[in-house]
Amino acid sequence: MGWGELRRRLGNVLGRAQFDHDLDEEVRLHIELRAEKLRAAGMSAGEAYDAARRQFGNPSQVRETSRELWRWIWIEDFFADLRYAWRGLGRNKAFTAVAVTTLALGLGANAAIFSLVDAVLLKPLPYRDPDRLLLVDEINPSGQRAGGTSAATFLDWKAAVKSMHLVANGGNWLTMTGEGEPQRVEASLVTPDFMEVVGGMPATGRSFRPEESQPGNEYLLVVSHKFWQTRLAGDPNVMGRRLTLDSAPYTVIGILPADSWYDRDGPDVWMPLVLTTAGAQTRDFRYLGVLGRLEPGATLASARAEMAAIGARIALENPKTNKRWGATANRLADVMVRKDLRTSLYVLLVAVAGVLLIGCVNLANLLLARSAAREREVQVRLALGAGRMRLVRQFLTESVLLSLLGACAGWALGSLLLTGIKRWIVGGMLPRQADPKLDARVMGFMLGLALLSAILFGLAPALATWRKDVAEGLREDSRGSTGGRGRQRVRSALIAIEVALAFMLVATAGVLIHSLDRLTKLETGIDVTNLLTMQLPRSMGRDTDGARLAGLVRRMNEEVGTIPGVREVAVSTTLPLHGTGFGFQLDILGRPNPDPQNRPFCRFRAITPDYFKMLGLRLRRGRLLQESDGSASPNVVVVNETFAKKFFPDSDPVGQSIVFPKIVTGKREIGDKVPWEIVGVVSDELPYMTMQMGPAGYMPFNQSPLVGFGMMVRAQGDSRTLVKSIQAALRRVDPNQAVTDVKMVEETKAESTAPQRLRTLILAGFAGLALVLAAVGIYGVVAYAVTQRTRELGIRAALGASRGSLLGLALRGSMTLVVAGLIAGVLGVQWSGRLVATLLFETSPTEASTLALVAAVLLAVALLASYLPARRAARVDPVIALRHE
Amino acid sequence: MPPEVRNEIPPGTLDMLILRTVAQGGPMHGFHIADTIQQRTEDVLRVEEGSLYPALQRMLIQGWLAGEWGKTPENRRARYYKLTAAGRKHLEREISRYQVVSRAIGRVLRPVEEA
Repeated sequence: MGWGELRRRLGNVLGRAQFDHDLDEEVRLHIELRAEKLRAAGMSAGEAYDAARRQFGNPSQVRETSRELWRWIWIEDFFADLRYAWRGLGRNKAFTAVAVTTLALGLGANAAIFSLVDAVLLKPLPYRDPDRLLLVDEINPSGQRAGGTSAATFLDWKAAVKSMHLVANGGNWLTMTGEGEPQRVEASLVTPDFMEVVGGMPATGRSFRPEESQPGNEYLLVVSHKFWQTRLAGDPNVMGRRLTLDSAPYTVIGILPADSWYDRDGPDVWMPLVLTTAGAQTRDFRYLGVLGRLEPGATLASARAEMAAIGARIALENPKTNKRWGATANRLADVMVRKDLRTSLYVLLVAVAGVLLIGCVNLANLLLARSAAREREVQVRLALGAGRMRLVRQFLTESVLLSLLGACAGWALGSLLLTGIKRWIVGGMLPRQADPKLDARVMGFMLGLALLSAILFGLAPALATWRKDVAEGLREDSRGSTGGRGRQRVRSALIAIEVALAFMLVATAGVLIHSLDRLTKLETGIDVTNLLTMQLPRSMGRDTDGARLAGLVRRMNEEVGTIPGVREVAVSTTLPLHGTGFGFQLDILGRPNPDPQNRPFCRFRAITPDYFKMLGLRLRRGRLLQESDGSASPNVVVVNETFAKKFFPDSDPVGQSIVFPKIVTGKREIGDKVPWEIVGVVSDELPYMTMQMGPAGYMPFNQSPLVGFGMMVRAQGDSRTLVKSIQAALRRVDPNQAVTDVKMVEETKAESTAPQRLRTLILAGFAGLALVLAAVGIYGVVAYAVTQRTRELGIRAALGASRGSLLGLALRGSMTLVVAGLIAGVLGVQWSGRLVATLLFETSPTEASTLALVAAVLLAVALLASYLPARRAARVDPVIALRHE
Repeated sequence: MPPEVRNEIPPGTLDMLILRTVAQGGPMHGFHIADTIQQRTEDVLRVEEGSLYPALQRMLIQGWLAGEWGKTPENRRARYYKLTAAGRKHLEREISRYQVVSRAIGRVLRPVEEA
């Protein structure tokens, strides 16, 4: 349609009345002229006029046809359908309410989950051109990404790589003093062009210059907007302001933009990174994260190949530290999301789609029942000349209208659900950049889903009108059991599908619940009752005197020990359930190692001796660490049972020595290798809730004083009540000591299982919803079937059938379907179980006990849902039934 | 053959005939167009009068004709249809297409001796 035509059509729409008048006048003139001509040929006036009219034809027809040429028929038809559908819905309020509620629940849940999926998996990262931003990483000999690299390796990479522009960042915690209480500040140390490469330059001020990465020039800060507003009170003179971090003065030179990803859990401040390869900065200290922006023309494949080559070369040049290590590059978006988060989201997406599907099945059944009731209406319309397509369009319009109403209600429900979910999301569950919300993308998704659903459940009754013989339909008693045979089959199939889907959902929820139960009951191997922990961050580069640091920690222990109510105190470089600790490859003295590359690997932590007693670790052989194991005494270590079993399966480890390096206090350096004598073996403890510890060793803090430790305290009463006293005691020892992450180990336990609990809760909710919907569906189908068969049941009753047998008859049909659905569901779980398997803890997705329980539950629910309407069958009064029309 | 038996206008050619009539005769009203076609074809083709007006409306929508209200010689109000530039182009296209088609048909129907 060209512009001219569009204009003309629109013009006609506005001048409809005039159009009719004009056309009528034209027709009248035509007929008159024709009549005149006929009169001129000799007819009488009356005859001429009649002949003219006859010759012309039907003026109404002409008017109709002419009018229709101008109209946009399909628009007007659509609006007519819409009005009709609206009235129809208004007449059947109960049906409309049920339908809209079902759709709202399904669509709302889908919207909420999709917003999560969108935020985490689909939306592009908030960096500049995120597809060309790669994460560059080392690969350890086991083929896994190391999670960071060393300064020396990074500089080698930067010098050699051509396909990418590399930048690095490292994290650090500093203590800010002079602004009230000493506070912890999270800092990111970056190479000068980092912000430019990533794509977020400061809104005010500037980023760093290359010369500022030289030692001595690096005391500059770029602060995040949030930090400026909350911790510096939005100081208008903040540019150029001096802040004291770790007792050094830093000048603020820039502020990052507000409302950017920087504010959402980004670090508080940014500083220049000083890289030196001087001294003993070894390649073992992998503390730098490296990002690379692809140069124009380079691809991911070429970058990866280049990194592999560079990594191989470094491995050859540095056999002591990097033998069999490699390097790789991955799209940042791909590695941003942990695998189990990705799987969880997929599972939730599938589950919620299943719920919607069950809802659609219910609606299809409802509409099929309704279409049977409207059959007469359809027949009359067909007889009057309505096109079949027109009728199908009518039914689809009704479905679409229902869907849109459901979508509106669903939007409200969905936002409620999302708000609830977000309240439960603990920090760290989602990537920092993810910001789930109900925005235009989610609305588009939901509307698309609504339309799809409308077609799905609207198609069934629409198609039912398709093959209809008009004459047969108009006959009085056409509503017999024969007429609905095809429909009945469809409805049966739908019920079985519904039951199968519900089974799969409930079974999945069941195994997740079981897995969670096992997780929370997990034996950690340690006594964590009433145990308070806190981190005592100190930064690198300040405490380089090991003896002094050890003395500090000793005084801290003493000072806290004097607080009334404190029973036990200990310090450890890794608090219980907080991780594995640092790890080394080691040699066993006196034992020649057959494979120099495959040396024994062990995790370590440095502790004060009370650690063992506090956690209830049991001594198996030898002795525990003591205070007397100090810097002047020989280096000793206590190992755990796993270590003993793995490396000393046939002999006693006590008395043997293992050789591994000491970490240089206060620096990111590893010192020389020294022997440590094994003096004892203790029982195992878990590092995290779900991990096994593996071989582990414990050193005395005095012999391995390290920056980066925490304190554990147990009190007579509730340990939490002593927090303030403990903080005061620590400040007495060192006024600048920041105390962070104060919580009970029970809380840590709960936090570490928070992701599992949240997804289990959500899935259980959906499963429950699916169960309710399926029950409602079954109820509806059985009720309808009973109504349809009232006559037959009445005859049977009149012929002497007992109530019981009538009941059985009514139930038999639906229960067969339910059983069929259950069988299909069990088969389906074999497939869906594979999806979920990685999320489970020591639980099989198809474990028989859970499946059997779920099947029993579903049977019971289905039985109840069938029994209620089936009761009516038993109570059929034959007299009334036989008269039933 | 009896004069009352009308031959149907082949489908699709009504537009062409109307446009051609208006092109040759200048602006004219509906009845005049029907009458002219009837006379020109020596009564072989009589326009189904009901179908004339929808056809005219269609051509108004397409922009091939423009309508304007005026007065007949007898001082009656009538709508006069005039050919537009687009209509003229369309007419030329249709005429040449028709000629090509009828030539082709003619070749098929020619007596065998000339083959």
